[in-house]
Amino acid sequence: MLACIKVLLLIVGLSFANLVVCNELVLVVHKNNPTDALSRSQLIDLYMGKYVAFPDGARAVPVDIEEDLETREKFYELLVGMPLARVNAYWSKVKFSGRARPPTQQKDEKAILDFVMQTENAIAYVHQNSVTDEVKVVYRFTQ
Amino acid sequence: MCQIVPKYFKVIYVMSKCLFLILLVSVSLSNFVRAEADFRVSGFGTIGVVTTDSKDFGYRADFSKTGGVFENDIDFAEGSNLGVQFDIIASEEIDFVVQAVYRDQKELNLDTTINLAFVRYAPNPNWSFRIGRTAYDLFLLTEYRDIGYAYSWAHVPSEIYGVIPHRYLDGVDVTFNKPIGDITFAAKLFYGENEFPLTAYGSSSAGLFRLDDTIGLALDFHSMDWEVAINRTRLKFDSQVAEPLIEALVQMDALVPNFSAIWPNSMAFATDIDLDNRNGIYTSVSGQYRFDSVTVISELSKISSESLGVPGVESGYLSGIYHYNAHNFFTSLAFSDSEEFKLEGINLAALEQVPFGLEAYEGAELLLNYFTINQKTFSLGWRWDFDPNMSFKLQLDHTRIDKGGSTFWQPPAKDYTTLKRTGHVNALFANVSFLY
Repeated sequence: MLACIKVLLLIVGLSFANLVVCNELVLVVHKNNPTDALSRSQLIDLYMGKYVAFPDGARAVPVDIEEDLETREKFYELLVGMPLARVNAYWSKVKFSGRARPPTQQKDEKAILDFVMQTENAIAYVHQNSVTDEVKVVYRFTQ
Repeated sequence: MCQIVPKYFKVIYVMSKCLFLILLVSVSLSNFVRAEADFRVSGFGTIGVVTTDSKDFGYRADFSKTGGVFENDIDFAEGSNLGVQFDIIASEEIDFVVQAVYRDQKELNLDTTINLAFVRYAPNPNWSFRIGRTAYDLFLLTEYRDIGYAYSWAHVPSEIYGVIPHRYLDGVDVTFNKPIGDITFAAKLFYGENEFPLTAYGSSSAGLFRLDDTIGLALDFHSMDWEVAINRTRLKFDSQVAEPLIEALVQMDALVPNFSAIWPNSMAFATDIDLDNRNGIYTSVSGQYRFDSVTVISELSKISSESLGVPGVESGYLSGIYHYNAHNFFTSLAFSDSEEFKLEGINLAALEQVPFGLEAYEGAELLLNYFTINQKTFSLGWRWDFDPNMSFKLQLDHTRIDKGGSTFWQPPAKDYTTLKRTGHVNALFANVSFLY
């Protein structure tokens, strides 16, 4: 009986862990993009408008999610450790001083994936469980 | 002295005029833009109130402002603004940016409202070239001083930014960006000219102060946690403000016998006080470091010039910001130390007998002290980000003014003989800043 409970708990635990991994945020690019992996510092440059290019020097088009504020907040918290208000404060000085443009926006994950599939130099964050064969994962926050 | 009602109506009246202007610009732009271009509209604003406890020193946001906020005044004009920006992305390489800002300008027209209007060509991610009206990258915060949401404080430090009201530069710039390991390096070279209203001593008018041949270099090194910036700009003052005084001194020297005994070295002084075509050099070194829950930011700046009319000024600030969820608590210490030049050895009794002699002396004193800011400010404040695009800020400043450096503050009356040169002021700021 005890052994059964242990096995059950193990199964539940593994399923939960699998669920967490499935819901983690990952960064994806077009499947033909030559970039295979990015560092966190390169991602910060891309998403904070400091150097908006892939490691091979090709121009990048970062994408933000428009309607899902919770996902956007989670992404920036993981990326730069700042709440969305401070990220917006940062972008307000970059954007309204005319230095750089903020990431382009797509309304939800489906629109984001469609955009990345059609745009060779796009990069976007989506949940692991939304990833399709048409895009390539270049960064995981758990790595 | 309480001016709540007229100022409130003035703000609404001018804001509606400004919105109309912005609407006109946006309609013209949208017609101009090709159908396939990406057209984005966004903006920012601050609704701010300020009050002080002084009868002698009237607060103003910067040297372009004719008003002053004294004891018992509740003022909305000094700390409020509204801006709108149009981004037209024609292609990956080319975009246009137009930004209009209402900030209680003395004169409201298209030229004074347009803050940015440039076209950018970025052939690759490393290089970009801009031509048109760009933000003035003189010191750390000059590019975004009107974007209240961008910084934690309720206002930028007056010690550095009060004396420089200029917002934009009409000219060209080139920027180079390159990541070097975990550090990103950016260098910008810019050239152009600009003008902005300037006033002091309680005058109700503000004349344009023009800066020509402005050439500057801005270097920036940043990583995930820290940033260091160095700015250096050389420019030429284009101002005839000292001409009447110089002419008067030349006439007196020619016509009054033995004038050099009454005003020793008057001709050398006349040459040194002249501003026109004289060089000024503006330098700033700044840095910030971001710990887990604390950000430390500091800037040191220096102004030097070839004219006594713009004295050398050294200024700076050190600020610490503690971040706790949506709340940010901050404290700052800012200082400004101007060079003093005193008129010495002048025989005032004899000068009084010379026609317009005393007027020339008073004019010289006023010009010498025009940009003199000697003060220290201690600030405490709180910023609450109650929405991802809106924040409330509260800030208390205690300022001590010494060594005759009170020109930043407006006097209660336009009477130069009663100007108070030293003292202290407490000022309270509250505002809501937002993005849209």
